[in-house]
Amino acid sequence: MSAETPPLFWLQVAAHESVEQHIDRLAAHWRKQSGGYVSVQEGRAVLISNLRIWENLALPAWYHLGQDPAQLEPHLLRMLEPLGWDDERIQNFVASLPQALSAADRRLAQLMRGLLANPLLLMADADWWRQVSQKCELAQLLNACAPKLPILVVAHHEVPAGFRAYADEQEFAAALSADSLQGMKK
Amino acid sequence: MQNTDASISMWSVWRKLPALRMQPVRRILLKQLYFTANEAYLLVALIGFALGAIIVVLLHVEYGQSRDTALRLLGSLTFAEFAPLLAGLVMIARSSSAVASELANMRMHGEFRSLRLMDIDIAAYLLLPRVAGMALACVLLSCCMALAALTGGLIVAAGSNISYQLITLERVLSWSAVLLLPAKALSFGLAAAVLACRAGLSVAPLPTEVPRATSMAVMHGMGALFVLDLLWAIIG
Repeated sequence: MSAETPPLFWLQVAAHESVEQHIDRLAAHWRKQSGGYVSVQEGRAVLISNLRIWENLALPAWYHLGQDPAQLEPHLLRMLEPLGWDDERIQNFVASLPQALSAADRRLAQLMRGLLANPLLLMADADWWRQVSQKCELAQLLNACAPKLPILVVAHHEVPAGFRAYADEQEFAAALSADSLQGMKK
Repeated sequence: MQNTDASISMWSVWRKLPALRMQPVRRILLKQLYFTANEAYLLVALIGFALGAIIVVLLHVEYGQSRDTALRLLGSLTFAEFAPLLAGLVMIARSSSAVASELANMRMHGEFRSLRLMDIDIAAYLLLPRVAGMALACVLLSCCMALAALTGGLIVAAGSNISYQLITLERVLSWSAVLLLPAKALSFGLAAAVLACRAGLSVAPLPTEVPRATSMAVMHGMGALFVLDLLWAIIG
């Protein structure tokens, strides 16, 4: 990660098997509580298989905000700039179906999809965070496009250095309001 | 593992009808229409043409009916009975299995959860456009089959005098048969689509269950089609 680290939170859960359930519950809570968008990032990135990558990227903003995918194109190209891709690479990426991409590219698409919808918080699992911690394109994209976006990692591992730890999801939800997340993001 | 997707009721799908105003939902509807109606219309037209010709040959040549009687029978048989039934069967064979396997695969790969995490309504985004698309496609395919059957019958019966038969088309077709066609086709399409979605949602999200979902969609769809046709015959 870069020197300018985002606000980092860690929710330690008892069992690895319950991570998904905690993420689902927290995402539902944040949607209800704040109406604000929470983007979930997971190590095994799931994209909608019958949509091309550009449709996947545009989907949340297209569905919720009614934004035409064409309007998102300049924003998407700006996002891809730090990765230094040439036109052919970009074309191949956005026109592909998810099954045709590598796991790393699917994670990039997952992150772009989340960032295009302007979230208040990124919620991730430990696997995704491990990928970001390495000097890869995913970390480059995150640092360039959302350096201050708060990140909550839900995992059953011990809390690493640099994270504010929470023992349960109610505690985290009570500690941070939508307004405080908005403030951190700025 | 509890299957929460199976609890999505089809009534809740119809309550989402206003979601068709949303562009991404309309896009799925158009894709469904493309795959169900556009990709099948040639096959349906061919079946219809052959059916119309066969009926007229049987009635006119084999059973000695007059040309006008043969065409009148063809009109009422195809518009009121064969066209919606056969178009519905073709649609079930092609699209019900496709819809069921697509939904079952999406669930298996966690795409339903992914959509929920993006706060996208499964009923509005995935089910409504598929149900509406298949129902509309069934009406379009039935019309296509009925017109192709009429054309086939007219060509076989009238040969080079086809222009005369076209002018006197109102003697061949009754308004009741023409109006019955879209009503029947819509009910068949809706039933097939709802059962296909139900099959895709009801199986466990496992690779071994996907073929079961497709088979269930086809079997239940065909059963429902004939039961509905029987009900139409009773109330008609």
